[in-house]
Amino acid sequence: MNISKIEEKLLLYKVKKNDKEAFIKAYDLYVDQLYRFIYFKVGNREEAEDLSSSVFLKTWNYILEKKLENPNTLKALLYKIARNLIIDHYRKTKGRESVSLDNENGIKIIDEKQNPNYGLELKADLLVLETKLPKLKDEYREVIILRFFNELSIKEIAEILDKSKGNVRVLTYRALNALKELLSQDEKPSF
Amino acid sequence: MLISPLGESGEVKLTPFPPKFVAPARGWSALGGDPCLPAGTAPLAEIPPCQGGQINMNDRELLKKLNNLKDIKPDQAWKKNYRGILYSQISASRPVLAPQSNIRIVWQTIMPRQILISLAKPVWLASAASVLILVVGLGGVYASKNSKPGDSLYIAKIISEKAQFAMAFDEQDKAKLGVEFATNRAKEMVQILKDTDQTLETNNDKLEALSQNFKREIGQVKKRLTIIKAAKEQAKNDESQVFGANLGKSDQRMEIAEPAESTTEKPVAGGDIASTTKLISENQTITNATSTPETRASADQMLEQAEKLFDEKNLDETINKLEEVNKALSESGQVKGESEIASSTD
Repeated sequence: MNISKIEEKLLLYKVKKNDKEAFIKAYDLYVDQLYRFIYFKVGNREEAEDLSSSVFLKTWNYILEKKLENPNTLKALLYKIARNLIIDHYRKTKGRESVSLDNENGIKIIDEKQNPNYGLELKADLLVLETKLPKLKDEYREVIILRFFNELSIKEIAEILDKSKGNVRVLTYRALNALKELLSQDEKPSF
Repeated sequence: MLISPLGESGEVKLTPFPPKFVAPARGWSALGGDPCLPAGTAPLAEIPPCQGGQINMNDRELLKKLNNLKDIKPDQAWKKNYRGILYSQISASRPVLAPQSNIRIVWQTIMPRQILISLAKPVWLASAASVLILVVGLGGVYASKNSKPGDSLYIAKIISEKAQFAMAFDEQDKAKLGVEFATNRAKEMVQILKDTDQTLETNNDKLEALSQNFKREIGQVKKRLTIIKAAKEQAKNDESQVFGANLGKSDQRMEIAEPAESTTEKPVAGGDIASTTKLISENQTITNATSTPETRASADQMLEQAEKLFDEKNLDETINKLEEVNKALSESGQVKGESEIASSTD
C-alpha cells in the first residue's frame, strides 16, 4: 500500500502513456482505500463494489481521452472521479429507500481469523462509528474517511477536495469534534 | 469505558483503554496535538485520558477506532475478479502500446514539453541567432587579423578596418588608424614576399595593389595631420577672440563699479586688449604649445622618412618607423586630452 512519491509520479506518467500494466498496478495499490472511501459514503457493500469498479474504468477512459489537466497524482484523480460518481449515485437513488449500512455479515475484516478478540473489538467500534458517520455532515464524513481511515496527507486531501491546506486542517478538527459530540450524545442514555 | 452493542448477539462488549496504543502521528498533527494533553507532552498510554464531564470518550480512543477502520477492505474474491475484468476492459479500449523505459519517463518529467515550447518562441530564437552571428563575426574578424591578400578572410580584415575608421570621429584617431592601416599594408607586403608558393606575377600584382594602398593611406594621414594643425590654430584664434570679448565686457562692468586689479596692472585700452589676451591665452595653452607641435612635427617627419624607406623597399624599417609615428600620435593625443581637461576645469 505504501508507495513513494517518485514511484507514484512514475506510475502516473506511465498511465498517462496508456500503459495498461501500470494502470493495473495502480488498481492494486488504490482499490482498497477507494473502496473504503466509497463504502463509508454509500454505506452498502454491493454499491461500493459497483462504484469502485466504475471509478477505475472511468479513470482509464478519462486518461485515454486525454482530459487530464495537470493532475499531480493518480490518487487525487481517482478520488475526484470517485466523489463525482458518488454524487451521481446519490442523485439517482434520491427518493428511494435511504441507504443503510450493511450488517456485520457484509463487512469483511481481513485478520478476523487471526485474532478473534481484535476482530470483535473492531466490529464493535465499527458499528458505533458506522451508525454515527452517516449522521455527520457530508464534508465532515469525507474528511474523516480520507484523513483517518485512508491516512491521506493534508496536501492530498486539499487536492482532492479543491481546498487549501489550512482549510482542510480546520475541517478535520471540526469534523472530529462533531463526531465526538455525536458519540457522547449516544453514550449519555447508557449511564 | 465505551459501551458498544454487538449487533445480533446482544452481548455488551467493553473496550478498555488500550495500553499499547500510541496515537498516529499524522492524526494528531492534524489537530495540533492531543487536546487533552499539555503542549509538548508525548501522547503516552500511561497518561490517563481527560474526562469530558461524565462521558468517558477521549480523543485517543476515538482516533484509535477511526484508525482501526482502515482495516476494512473489499472482498478479496471481488477484488481479484474485477482485476481481470478491468484488464480486459482496458485492453479492449485501445491497442497495446509498448511500455516505456523509466529513463525516458524521468527525462520527460525533468524536461516538460512546456520548457521546450517556451524555448522555441521567436524571441528566444532571434536572440540566439543574433548571439551566434555576433560570435561567428567576432571570431572571423579575429582570425582575419593576420591574413594577407588572396586569403579568404582578407575581405573581413578590410571590412573591419573600414568599420573601425567609420567609428572614429576624432581626426586624431582617424590619423592614427590611417597609420595603423598603412603598417598593416607593409606587413602584408612582407608576408607576400616571404610566401614563395605563389607565382611571381600574382605576387607582383598584389604587391602593386598593396603599395598603392599604402601610399593612399599615408597621403590621407598627411592630409589629416595638416587639417589637425589648421584646426588647432583656428581653435587657438577662436579662444583668444572669445576670451578677449569676455574680458572687454567684464572690464566695462568693472569700470562702472570700481577699478579692477588687472586694469591697474595693465591699462586696458582698445588696442591693448589683444596683447593681454594673447598673453593669457599663451599661458592657457602652454601645455599644447610645448608638446603637440613638436610631436606633430616629428610625426610629420617620421611619416616622410617612412615613405622614403618604403620607396627604397626597406619594408621592415618602414614598419618600425610607422609604429614610432603611431606612438608619437597617441602620445600627443594623450597630452591633448589632458590639456582639454585642464582648460575645462579652469
